[in-house]
Amino acid sequence: MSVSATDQQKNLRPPKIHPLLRFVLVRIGISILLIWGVTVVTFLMTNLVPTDPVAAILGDRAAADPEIVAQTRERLGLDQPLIVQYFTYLGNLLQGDLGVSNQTRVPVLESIGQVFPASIELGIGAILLSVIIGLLLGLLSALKQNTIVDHAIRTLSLIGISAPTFWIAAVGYFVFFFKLRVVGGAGRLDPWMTPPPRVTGLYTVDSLLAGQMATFTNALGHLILPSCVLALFTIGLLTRFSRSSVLDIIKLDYVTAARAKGLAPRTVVFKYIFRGALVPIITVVGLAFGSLLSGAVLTETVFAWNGLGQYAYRGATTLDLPVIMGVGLVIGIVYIIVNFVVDLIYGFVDPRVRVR
Amino acid sequence: MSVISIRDLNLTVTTGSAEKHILRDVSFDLEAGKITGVAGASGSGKTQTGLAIMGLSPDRSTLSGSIDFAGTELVGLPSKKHNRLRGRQLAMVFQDPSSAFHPMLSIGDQITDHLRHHRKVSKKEALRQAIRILGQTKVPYPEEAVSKYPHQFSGGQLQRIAFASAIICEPKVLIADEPTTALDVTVQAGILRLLRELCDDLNLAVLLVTHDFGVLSSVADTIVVMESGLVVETGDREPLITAPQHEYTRSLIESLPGAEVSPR
Amino acid sequence: MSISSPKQPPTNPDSTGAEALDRNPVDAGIKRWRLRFPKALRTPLGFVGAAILLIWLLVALFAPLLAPFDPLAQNFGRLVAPDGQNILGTDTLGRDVFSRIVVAARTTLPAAVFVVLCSAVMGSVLGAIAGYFGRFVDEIIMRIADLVFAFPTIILAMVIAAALGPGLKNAIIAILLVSWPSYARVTRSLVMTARSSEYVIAGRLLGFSAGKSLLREIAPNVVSPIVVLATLDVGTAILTMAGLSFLSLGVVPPTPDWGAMISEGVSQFSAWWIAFFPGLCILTIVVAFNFIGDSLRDTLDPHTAQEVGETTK
Repeated sequence: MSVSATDQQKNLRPPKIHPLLRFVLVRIGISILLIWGVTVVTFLMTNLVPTDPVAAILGDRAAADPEIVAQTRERLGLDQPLIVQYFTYLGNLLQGDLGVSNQTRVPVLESIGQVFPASIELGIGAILLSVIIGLLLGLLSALKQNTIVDHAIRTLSLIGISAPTFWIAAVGYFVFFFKLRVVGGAGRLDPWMTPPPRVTGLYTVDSLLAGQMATFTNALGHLILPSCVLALFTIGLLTRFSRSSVLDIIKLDYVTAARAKGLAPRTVVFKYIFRGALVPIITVVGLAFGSLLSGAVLTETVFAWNGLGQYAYRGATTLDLPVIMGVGLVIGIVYIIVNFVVDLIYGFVDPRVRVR
Repeated sequence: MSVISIRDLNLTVTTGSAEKHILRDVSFDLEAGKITGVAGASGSGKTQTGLAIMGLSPDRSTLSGSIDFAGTELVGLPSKKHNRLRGRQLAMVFQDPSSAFHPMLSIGDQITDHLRHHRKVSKKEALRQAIRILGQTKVPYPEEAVSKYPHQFSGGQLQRIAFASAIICEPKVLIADEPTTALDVTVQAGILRLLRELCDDLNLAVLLVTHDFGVLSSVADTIVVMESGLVVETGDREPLITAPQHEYTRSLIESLPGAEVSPR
Repeated sequence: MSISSPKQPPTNPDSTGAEALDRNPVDAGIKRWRLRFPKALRTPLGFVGAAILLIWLLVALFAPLLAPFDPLAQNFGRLVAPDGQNILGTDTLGRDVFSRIVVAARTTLPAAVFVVLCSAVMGSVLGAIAGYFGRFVDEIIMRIADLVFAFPTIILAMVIAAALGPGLKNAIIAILLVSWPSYARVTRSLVMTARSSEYVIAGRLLGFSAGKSLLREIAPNVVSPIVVLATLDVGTAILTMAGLSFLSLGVVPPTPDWGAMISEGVSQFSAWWIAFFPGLCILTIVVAFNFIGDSLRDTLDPHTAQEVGETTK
């Protein structure tokens, strides 16, 4: 249990590179590898299609003409070996070419760029809600272990992760908008409102920047229900995780040591227990974000929320492959980047990584 | 004069429908300037005795009997009042220093937060005192140590820091629960010497809990031998070691290396 | 807080490998499992979960008897609210919602259990191979698993299902491909722990072959966490399948399916019953599996429970 031997080694051999920098570089490397892997997956999926992409592009009549088909195959590079095709694909991706929608003929990247801020706005709202509520419920549940409060929170969080998000969305919309009219309806704003001048693409932020308070409250009214619905699953997830994380921490010696110092119970809970539990929880927030992205694809349609999810939904229901693959790629990359950022936060928060 | 006197202390823990007697009619005294060693195998209740004094007995446990601390009855003391004594009058050092500190809080923060809580001193003043007290417990480079984190210290150094944290509010009682067990043999003697020094210099009443009879035979003034929740023998060090009355004590002494050869 | 003397490090230097082998881990593992399984169902949550699941099993089994009407026949007026005849109303094509819901249980439940069984077997075998042989076999398998984890589950399932084309079979393949890695991770780490444990080393010293020791001694330790994981995963599989159907990538119409029914109902807000009841079905059945899985996990020892984790996606 002694550290003295390793202490000496540390002194003998000073590290050439700061551990935090090393940590960051390793994380960047892993993320880049994963993003590369994601491109391989979407490429393989595109080429795995049983239906001939040429037919999809040309339409039935032109596809019947073998000469046109051959020309198109050559033009698209489909006569090349798969590996060559992959590098062409990768080259296109690097130039921002994600292909063109079979349905609308609009470049996929352009459409994604337009709808992305809407999803970001929704995602931020939902992740804030779920982190705050999830952590507090988990903490409460753990501190009151085996009481009625604990059982209630555990049961509710289990139910929360059992409900299909798109159904909760429909029920929530029906109750809170259709019947009670306490929240905004479909879309990001009421139909007669004009969107605020685009700066960030987030209506709430942009309307504040433009000083349009009426637009802001309207946008917020439309945002609140979708974020709550989307957050429900991740609240359940984070509640369960933070509960078990806090329970692990409570057993540790340093908590007993803190109590033995006669600190106020509040200090013991927030300064010692919660801080200790936070480290593993941070790593799960990235995972929770993934669930949010999945949820968004399934719920945005219900709220007519013109974001990535609705775009993906339209692509999926019309089997528009370039759109589906583009969305898959973008969400994969966003998810990897979010997890990278989460890892960085983890590194900065934990002195064992931060300080040599 | 005894600082703490424990009389007929009983501790029962209820798990489900089963009741478990952890302590049975435990009685002994802690005196200022003296180290009282409690010896016994794991599960003999020695650690729980220390935790009972601190008011940190496990949930779902019942404590009866009496722990008199300078006129204050600690058994049944409301937790708020007990909390005012903890850290200020009653201090504790734990077995494994590497797990007794929060890995994400700096040393300076962790050894002064109770000082600031109990005495309402400023952050600056607290740090100044921390540096002084780290010097007293012989932690190298105290000025730098306060801004470091637990993982940057060796086990022996951390235990010295734990002692610093324990004495910073000038307590009357110090409970040391197996303070050397998790440490390298090479640093154990140093920690025990520190304990002796602190006890003498600050006139502390020390309760030293250990399963290692060798440790007690070198530093304890009085020895209490416990077996499955019962005190089987109490006495001053010399007579107890040279002429143990109880069979269990004898077996503990005989298990010491070279015990039969040199009974002293 | 543990009860007595929590400061003692748990060491057990006396138990030699040979002694451990005497305990016969195969029997011990199975016996322990038998003892714990019914115990888990005696907790309130486990009991409620088992009861709900039993009801659903009966519904799926006797669906043809329970469904009052042909789930495909467009016999009634469109969008009829729940009444004496159509107790849960009718949908946009005038089909009886109750009959469709009941019949849909016959596809959803077996499909979900089937896909979870397949992915549990596939994942455990791959994970065991990775954990037992290590080196580049381990690298290849686990890097592929990492890649699957690089996508949110439904997104990857959506991409795969879209590439393969809509249909129940393709949806099952998609879910299988996205869900095996969590089993691989758990099995791998358990196998790696078990491989270095005393009784397996003792077994190898006694001359058991690699494959034999893997099956005879490691398998019993891996089975219970995998069963827990699988139980929780049936719920996830049902949710993913419903999600794919919602995206029109699952069961092809007119075959009744809960996800597709919700999708239909979402565009008909005044006819709330079309979406409400199928969603309730999904919720109750997923809750049942999660309740049972959660109670089962509580019976695992803490270390293994940690492997199974709170969040295995």
